[in-house]
Amino acid sequence: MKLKAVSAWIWQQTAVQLYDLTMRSRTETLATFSTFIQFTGDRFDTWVSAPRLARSMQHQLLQQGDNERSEKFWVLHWYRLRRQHPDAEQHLWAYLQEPCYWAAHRISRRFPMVQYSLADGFQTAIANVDRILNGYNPDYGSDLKVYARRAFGNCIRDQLRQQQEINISSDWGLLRRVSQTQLRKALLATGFVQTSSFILLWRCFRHVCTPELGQSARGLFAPSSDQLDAIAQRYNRLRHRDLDIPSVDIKTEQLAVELTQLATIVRAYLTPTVTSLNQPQYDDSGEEQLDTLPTDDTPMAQLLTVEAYAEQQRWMQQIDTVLSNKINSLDVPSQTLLRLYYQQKLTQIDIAHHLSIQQYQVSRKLTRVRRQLLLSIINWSKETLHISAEATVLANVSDVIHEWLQRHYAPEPPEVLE
Amino acid sequence: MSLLFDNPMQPVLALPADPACWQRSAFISDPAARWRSYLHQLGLKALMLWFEEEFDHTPSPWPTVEPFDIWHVVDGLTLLFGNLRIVVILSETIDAAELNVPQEWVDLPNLSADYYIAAYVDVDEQRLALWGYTPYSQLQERSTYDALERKYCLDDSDLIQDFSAFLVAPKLEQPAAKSPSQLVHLSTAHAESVIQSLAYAPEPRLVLPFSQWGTLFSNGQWRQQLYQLSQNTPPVSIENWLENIFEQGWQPLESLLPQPSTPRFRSSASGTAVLTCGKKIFLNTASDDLLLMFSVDIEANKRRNIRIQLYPSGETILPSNVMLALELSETGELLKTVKAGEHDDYIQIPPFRCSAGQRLRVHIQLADSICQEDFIS
Repeated sequence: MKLKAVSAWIWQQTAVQLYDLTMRSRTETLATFSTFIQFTGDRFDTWVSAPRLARSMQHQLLQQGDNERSEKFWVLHWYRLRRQHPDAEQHLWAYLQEPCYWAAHRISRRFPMVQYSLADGFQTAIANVDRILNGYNPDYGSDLKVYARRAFGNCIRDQLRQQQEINISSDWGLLRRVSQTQLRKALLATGFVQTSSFILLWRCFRHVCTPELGQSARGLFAPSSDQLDAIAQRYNRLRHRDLDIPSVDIKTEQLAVELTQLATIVRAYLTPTVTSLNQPQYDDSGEEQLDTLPTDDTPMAQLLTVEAYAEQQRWMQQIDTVLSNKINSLDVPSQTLLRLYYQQKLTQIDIAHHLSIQQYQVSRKLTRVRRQLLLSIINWSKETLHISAEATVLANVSDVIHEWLQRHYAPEPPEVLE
Repeated sequence: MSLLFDNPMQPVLALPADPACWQRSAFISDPAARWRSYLHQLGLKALMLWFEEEFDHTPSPWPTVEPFDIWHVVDGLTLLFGNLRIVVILSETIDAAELNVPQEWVDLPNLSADYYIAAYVDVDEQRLALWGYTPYSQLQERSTYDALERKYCLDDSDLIQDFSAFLVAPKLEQPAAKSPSQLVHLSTAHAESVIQSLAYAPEPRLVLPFSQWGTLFSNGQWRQQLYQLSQNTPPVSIENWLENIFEQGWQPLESLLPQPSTPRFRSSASGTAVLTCGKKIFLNTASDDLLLMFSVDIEANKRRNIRIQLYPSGETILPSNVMLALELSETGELLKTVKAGEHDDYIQIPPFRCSAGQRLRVHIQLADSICQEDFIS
């Protein structure tokens, strides 16, 4: 088992290096905001240009005249126009191809024993662009590329965790621990229009069938006949109150059949078929509308972006000073920990080995160090900027600290250099 | 994007299984309520430890030490940290994509919290992962209300998932304002009749309109009554005991005690009794379980000679002021009452005689925490 994992890991490492040779990062601003990754099998193939986006970007670049603007400037520009400009979201979508690729790349390397290809990871993650843009907040100087790479990575990791959980659960264990939202989706996907009686049945099942101590919750057994009776009884008592559709009492035999059906539906829904590796993300069918691009509002929008961009840069410089000072004043073990995590990018398990501590202690120590850094920023901003320290704002600042630490310890994303 | 592998900003707490705790909850007949009580007891232990280690300050459980009266109907683990109320919602749901907070923790002024934490329970791996939290204000603004299950649902993307910022804010933040809620007044008589009807209903929290249920649930004493009533079915029957049939939670003396019988029981509880039975009693206000003991002699004409005693379970003395009373079930007429002093190792209702088939009620109370046991002599 162990040997198998190791050899899989070596295979992955080799394979990953092959991809590295073929992945070319985009350098032209035009391409960065108008092209999409195409995979062949599980490997990067080429950048495909979306003509309409290319023209739109060209148009914007021309308006700038001789002023060469940075990539970050354009990110902020499109982000700010997200709700107004018809193509803004698509430009960002194109921009986010690379962080998404590197997130998938890093995870396929970091968790090599998991059955998950780079292209699978990319597909899973890229579907979350909308969510990531909603979660992103540029106000405190957060860099979209860094933010998105982490957020994409989180999407993939979450997916991996769930998949593993699903694979090792019995049908009944799965049925008990599926969310109501997913159960409803599974029913709709299977073709049931009316889901409420199934959901009531499921709630009764969950109420009655809890694991016994010493029995695994994942490997939950099929309901016993006593339990089936109890579920039926409960269902028949609750259906008058909870169902807004005409319903009849359920018999135990029928109930057994329906529950088994439910368990099968959930299993089938949650076990993914192989995802197709083609590119569904960008639809260029609106091509003919090209000439109706709004052009007159852009100079003003660009001016506003210039201001916002300058503001962001100032804030970043200040943060940089505060954090650098704070880090220098940390004790040696804390500094070592930060280096192991942010510079050498070790997993918590590896760090635990390295420092001869428990894995959970790594997490606690890291959290503590980051809390210290956060407090230094808060005290500074309270004195100089009078920024309110609401919980949600703090979370944003904490994100920024995380990004800052990444940059501080690994100035260029190392993947790009590989 | 909720719960992650190897994310140091989401604390993972050890959640060791506790067979003794599982056994202790054997008296809860409803499987979901028993499971919930068990998980909440484990979770409470783990969280207390985590808070203490992480913030060098021990939180206290709230509103009572182990609120079984809450856990038997509603999800939610409550902690008081300094002056901050924190509600932790435990969930075993695999996709962990949203935080579901029962309405009780949001709309009831005396139960709403400053912070809500989403926790993922994995009993197989014996761990508890905290994967997000939200201040009250954010829950109010961003959540959607699920009318069927009376809960507020907040998407994972609206939760803060970085615990390094947790509790950094409150030092600087004003406590969240509580929303005025629309609860109706219930008279004691009305409340008690409602409690009767709820005690045996599945999902009692969903039976009444929330304006009534909220009033009932906010009141600690009514909550206790509902809990006690729903646990006490049917009345304990001494006739059954004679045939070796024991109701939920009741056990003959031999099996209640690990050793044949410890000296302190032998001195007082044995004697000539033909039958001695006991049950562990939980009072929120007591730090330890209590042991309610019945010793019954059967005399001529099936008349019973009954002695009722109350012992501490683990500790050596009873909590002072704990009260033991005997009432007539039908009328509630008080027959006899005794109260523990500062150093009592047990208290008892003096032996009394009665005919078979008499309906009686034992009432145990410490402060506002009450437990009642109905029995038929």
